[in-house]
Amino acid sequence: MRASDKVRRLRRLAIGLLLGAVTVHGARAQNAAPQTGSDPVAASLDSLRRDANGMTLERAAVQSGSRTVRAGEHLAGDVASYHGPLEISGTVDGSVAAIGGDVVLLPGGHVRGDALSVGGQVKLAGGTVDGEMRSISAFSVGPLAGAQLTPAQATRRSLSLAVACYLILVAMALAVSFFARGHLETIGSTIRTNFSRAFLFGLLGEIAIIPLFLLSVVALAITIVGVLLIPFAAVAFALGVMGALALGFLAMSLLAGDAIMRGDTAAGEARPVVSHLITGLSLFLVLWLLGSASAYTGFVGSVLRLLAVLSTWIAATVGLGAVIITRAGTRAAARVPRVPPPPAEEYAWQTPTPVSGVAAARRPTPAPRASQQ
Amino acid sequence: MKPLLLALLSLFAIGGGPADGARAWRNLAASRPRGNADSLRVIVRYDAGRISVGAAAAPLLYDARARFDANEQRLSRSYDATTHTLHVGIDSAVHTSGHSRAGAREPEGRLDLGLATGIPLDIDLDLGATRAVLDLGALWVDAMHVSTGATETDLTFGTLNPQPMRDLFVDAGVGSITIHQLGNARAQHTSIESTVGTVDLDLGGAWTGEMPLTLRVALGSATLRVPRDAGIALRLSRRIANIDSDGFTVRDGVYYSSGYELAKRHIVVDGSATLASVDVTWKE
Repeated sequence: MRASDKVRRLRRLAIGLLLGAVTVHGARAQNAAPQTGSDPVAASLDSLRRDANGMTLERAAVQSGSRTVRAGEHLAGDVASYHGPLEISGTVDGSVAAIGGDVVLLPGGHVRGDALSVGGQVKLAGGTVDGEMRSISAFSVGPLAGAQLTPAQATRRSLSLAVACYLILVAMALAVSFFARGHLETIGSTIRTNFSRAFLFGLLGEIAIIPLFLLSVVALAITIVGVLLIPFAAVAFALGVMGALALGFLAMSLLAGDAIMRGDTAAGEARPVVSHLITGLSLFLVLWLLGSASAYTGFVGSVLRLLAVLSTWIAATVGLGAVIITRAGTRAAARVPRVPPPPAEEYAWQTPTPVSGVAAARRPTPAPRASQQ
Repeated sequence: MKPLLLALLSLFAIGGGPADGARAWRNLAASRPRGNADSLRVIVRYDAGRISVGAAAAPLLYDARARFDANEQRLSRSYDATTHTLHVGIDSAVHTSGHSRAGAREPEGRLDLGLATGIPLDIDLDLGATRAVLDLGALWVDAMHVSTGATETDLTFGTLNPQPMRDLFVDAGVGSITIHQLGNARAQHTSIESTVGTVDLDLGGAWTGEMPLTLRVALGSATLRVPRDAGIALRLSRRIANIDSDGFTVRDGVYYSSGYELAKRHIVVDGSATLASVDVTWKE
């Protein structure tokens, strides 16, 4: 593939991603559109009813603006005000509430039920409340974020997660390419020459992670001083495993980037490791983005997600195996004899004969048999 | 490089929008006059932020103040006047991936719970990843059950319990638990369990007679701070564990502190230590 074709494809990919982002944002904006009701008091009462710390009130009990229960006044039901304070000097057999205001219990004021303020306070200024005095700063209604995600929200969350992982890996790739490029190259060449062996070692390494961790905990616990080191050892172990996985995955990404960008580098020119790493990582990102974006498309989405998971797992496993084989890139794997490259010219297979000729080797002659002697 | 930059910018556009769970902090204050309540059972389920439990102002049965993120949590309370039971619980969002949002456990969320003095309290706390400060001085605790997850718990019995506590059970999962002046609880039976972490027990307080204590520690350490005038006997089954036995006499597998028989008050510790160390220090 020509370099200009690749650039064109990357540009198409970028435009596609941008359109996807706009679409997702648009869908989210539609989901987040506020629901407006014709009667704000009724809407507030509905929120009050659905709030776990609210209460149920009849519409008739609510009066807009401030409200006062005068001394000597005795009300049998509930009393509420909307966007105004509620002052009580008389007796209320039910509950009282002020939505967007304070509830003030003045001397002689008596509430037999609960007193609730939304956006204000319940103030005891000489009065009494038999039930609970409660104030909430605002309503807490609607589904909890994440508890019931819409498909658009779930998709967006998956996309964000994939992008976040990608950006973290890009940052790690930059650090590794600057500070541990040699190790990365060693791991990469090990994967290239010993792919099956690296996969096997990676698989064994993944299986051995938990037993190794338990063994090290027990080993530390046997020595009494070591018990105190267990938390630190656990953190160090986790970091070590994650680091090995990340390093191996980056090496696999480098190889993937090499494969994609092959031909972009002129002969004899140093290979741009960072570009190749990012290209390789982007390949995995595209797989995950496709899997995330098509999560709700049924079978195709499942297949794409499975593909993303499988490819990532294989890459991580092979990379981990190569990290183990090369001791994190500090030693090269045993070299496998290389197959000589195919001839580049049409008649190159012919052995060039020097003008002076070639001395023929003596053919070994077998020892004469006893019967012939 | 231009297309790559464009691609990265578009990726940022996907990932950099406003978060679904932008903070929506709510404050809740709920209190109730004691009325004719002669006891209170308190059940708290809390797993986000900080929690404190202490004494409420005199005329109140309870006084709960909380701050929570309404996008991620719902904190609610209810009171059953018939059984005198207060429930305070938090309902946290659990995402499709099975993990709670990290922000849900940020320290800004908190619950301060004040409880009535002068009436017997039966307290049941189930705490998740929280920082808990439980100051039970001035309260009459009749029974207490504390179950914690990844929690840092600080429990103080600042004053002598008016009546002996029937049962004190602390199950510290992963984390640390520190109990100050445990003797003031006057618990007829105390059980402390720790799965992974540290246990620091101050056995001081104005108690007399014998204090029975069940201690089960695994993968961690326990420090017992014993008053100088008390004697302590450790009857612990050990599995790869160490007991700091300096100055102790071992008889029939039981570690007795020096002068145990002559001490004015006694602590008898039963239980087990697995992959753990148990240290005894003396306090004046």
